[in-house]
Amino acid sequence: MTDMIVKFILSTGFAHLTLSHVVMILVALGLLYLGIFRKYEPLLLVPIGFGMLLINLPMTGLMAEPVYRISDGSLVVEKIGGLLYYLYQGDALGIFPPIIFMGVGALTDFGPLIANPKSILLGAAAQFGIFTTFLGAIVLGFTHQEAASIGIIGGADGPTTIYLSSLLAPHMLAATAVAAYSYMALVPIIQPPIMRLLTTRQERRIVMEQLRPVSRREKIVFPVMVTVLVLLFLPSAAPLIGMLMLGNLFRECGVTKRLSETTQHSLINIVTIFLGVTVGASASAETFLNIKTLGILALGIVAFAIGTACGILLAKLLNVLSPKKINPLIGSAGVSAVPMAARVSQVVGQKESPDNFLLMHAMGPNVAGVIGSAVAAGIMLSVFG
Amino acid sequence: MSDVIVGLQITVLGMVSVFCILLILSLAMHFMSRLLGQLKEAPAQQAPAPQATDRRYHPSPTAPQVRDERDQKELMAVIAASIAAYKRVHRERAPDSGHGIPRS
Repeated sequence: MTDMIVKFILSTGFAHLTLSHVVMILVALGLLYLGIFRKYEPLLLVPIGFGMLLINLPMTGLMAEPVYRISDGSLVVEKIGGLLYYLYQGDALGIFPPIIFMGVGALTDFGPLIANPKSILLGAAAQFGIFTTFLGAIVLGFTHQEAASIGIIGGADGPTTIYLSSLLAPHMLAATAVAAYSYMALVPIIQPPIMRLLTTRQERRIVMEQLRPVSRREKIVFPVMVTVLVLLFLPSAAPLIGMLMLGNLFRECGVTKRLSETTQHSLINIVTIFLGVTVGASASAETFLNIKTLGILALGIVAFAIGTACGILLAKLLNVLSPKKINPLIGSAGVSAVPMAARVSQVVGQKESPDNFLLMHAMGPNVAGVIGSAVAAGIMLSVFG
Repeated sequence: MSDVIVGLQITVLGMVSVFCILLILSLAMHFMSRLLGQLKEAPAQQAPAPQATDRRYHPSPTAPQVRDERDQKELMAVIAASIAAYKRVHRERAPDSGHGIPRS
């Protein structure tokens, strides 16, 4: 009887609970708090936080790898893997992020970008944060692959960060994903001080010309043209750009309403659940609680800040070169974080001038940022992949 | 040190590549818009001019979109004028109407 009780006690999680597990459980609870009560990216932080909680409860075996043995010359499963191990393959094999991108494409109206093609350059400038942070991470001792996974946080694009990390530095996936989504959630806090620091009051009050209407034909040609052009230059960006533009074509072509609706709602929601939970589940105490994670979090915010600053500075430069005035506040929207970064531009602009509506102007660089970060990821993959 | 130099090379290459690819996209979008704009305008210019004596509306099958846009604007103007006239008339009549509908 005593043996049975001892055996039972040893099989419980309490017997295997360590301090690092407790710390990770607290981190998971912190993410759940931010998602549920502070409403910071709840659709992602809630599944990520819960996945993190699940995996740090000892003895659950949710991420256990399957055990195989060879019997009579064939491979036999001796012990099946944990549930989250199998779902995690969607991250590890780079399947979930491109599907999320398809949903993003179906949800995105590229009209403001087509109406003002110049704004794509602001999206390009905001990607500079990725590369400068990449260099900074190398100086701090990270490998090239790790540095690329850290730098891409500056793109403020969760799926791209997960995609690149899962292929280049899978051991850092949880830290980079948590950093990317946390900073995306903190866009309204991180960006405004940088925006105010780099612009004058007069610049923030610039009223931009109304955007021209974009025809349906232009919107249909756009995804096909972007796919062909970008993938001819950068084939490694095919999973991200290809899926993004496929989703957008579903939306714009007008004859695939059911596919567009499925992509925009059911599909992206289902994949978001799996992606969030499994990314959280990859944050075990052993992989997450180390000094590198702190470095990733610190460098991530640097990348983000540099991206924001470069977007604003390029907008100021374009103002010098072009007769058509651009409000530099829309440059900060060049970091992806759709549509939150564009909303921040609108809010900061309206604080200076309540009649100034920058939202649609900021949506141009904002959606350009999505393309830009995917292109940057493609460049990293073509070099290190 | 060699790692940093390689990193620096990749940084410069990456920045230039992103900028160039997106610049090309920007130019391509500009030309796409111009080309599609011309394609849209070309049939409209080819459409035969209506006869001066014939003032009835003849839909032009060669330029449905141009016609549509103009019709939409006319329609919006007519609707706006009607609403304004309706509001003016009802505002004047409202005190006598006896319906007891409060006016804002």
